[in-house]
Amino acid sequence: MQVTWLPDLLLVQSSSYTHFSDTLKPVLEAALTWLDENAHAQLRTRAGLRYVNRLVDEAALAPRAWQGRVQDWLLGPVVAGLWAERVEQAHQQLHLRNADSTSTVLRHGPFRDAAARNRFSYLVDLDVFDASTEPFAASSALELLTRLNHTAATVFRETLTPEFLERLGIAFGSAEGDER
Amino acid sequence: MTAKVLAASGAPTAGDVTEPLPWDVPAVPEDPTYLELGTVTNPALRDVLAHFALESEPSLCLSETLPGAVVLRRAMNRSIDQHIRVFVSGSAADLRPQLQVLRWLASTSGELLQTDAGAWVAGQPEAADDLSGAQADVAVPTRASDVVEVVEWLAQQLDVPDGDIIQAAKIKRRNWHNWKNGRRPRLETQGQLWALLNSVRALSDMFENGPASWFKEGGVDRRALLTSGQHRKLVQEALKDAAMRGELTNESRRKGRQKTAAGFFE
Repeated sequence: MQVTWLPDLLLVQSSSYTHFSDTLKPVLEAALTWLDENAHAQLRTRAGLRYVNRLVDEAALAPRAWQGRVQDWLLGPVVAGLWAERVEQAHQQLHLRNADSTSTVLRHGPFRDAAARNRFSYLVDLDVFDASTEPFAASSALELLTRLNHTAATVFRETLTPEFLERLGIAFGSAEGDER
Repeated sequence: MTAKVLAASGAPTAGDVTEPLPWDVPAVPEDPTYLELGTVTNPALRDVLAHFALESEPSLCLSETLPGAVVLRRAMNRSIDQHIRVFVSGSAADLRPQLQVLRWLASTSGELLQTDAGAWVAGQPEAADDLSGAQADVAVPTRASDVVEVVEWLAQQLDVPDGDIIQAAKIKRRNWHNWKNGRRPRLETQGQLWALLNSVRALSDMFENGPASWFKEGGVDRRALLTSGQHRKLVQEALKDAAMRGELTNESRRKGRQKTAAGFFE
């Protein structure tokens, strides 16, 4: 885990994530509470959670090997059209408006992964954030981040097929009341 | 920013003249949530993430690009099985409260450890002295300052027109004029002003005579970074320059300026 503190930025980053409540929430809660009580933070200009998921399959010889695991409508030209056989890399960035005032940016696509026998891994880079400026309060910031986590979990589940989620041991559908 | 375009009119009718229409420049995409690419060990994944990164995204690669910038180093609590690294950047004034957080981070229970502050600035006892001396910079505006004063201070620090600051902070010009005429600014109209203030404060702390000369040396490129709102990149450039000059590890120079620019705990 790495905590980066720049003059206007607190960044908590971990490469060994298990659950939001285990990995991030305790650190965020304590750091935000401390900020509230000691650092005289007045405003929150942005809050976001970013999950960089690298899905690996050392048997994936072509990008379209991810068909059936990632939703077809996201794979697009990787599985449909004249060039499906020729695609070497396909990245897409979607900016989604969430039901509340927050946003989701999904960057995804297959890439040749030297660490997976040069086969095709799949990136699901989920960025959920609220860019509105608000007075800073630890409790509301933590509440927002918890809500963003639910949004991220829901989008992640909607990105993958129910069959693949089942193989991963993750329930399909909304993550409401659940955590990722 | 507001520009005007002329309304196209293929078939003018009586009384219909080509009138200027108000037109707001489309909003640029939001910056992504920060990711320190230096910590992504898989090179292919790192390349993909870097490929996705917007031009305006400040890449936090301090661990990769600034090994010489370490001024704070201390082993974390051995009972933690995870490797925790903490980067600290900013002025000595910023560092004082961070020491408490760093002590908290060293405890698995989340409680602050009663560690002497000096012990955390391992090998650099003078840094603790810097902390007390750094509180005196009263000219630097804070978030309690008047917004107009803040804009003017920022313009003065970088020796640029107010317009550059307004543009950098993504503040609408008409709001700026309203504020100058005494209207009370609403929070949601202040754009990125406070984030910009933090960046310029960090720059001011890095240069004994202010950052204006360094900023001008960068010419149009550096000005473009400012006006496009990429002020954090300016801070990173300044940090890199300072690291290349050895200032971040040269104790006598650093002590003389009573500044602490960057560091990490590992």
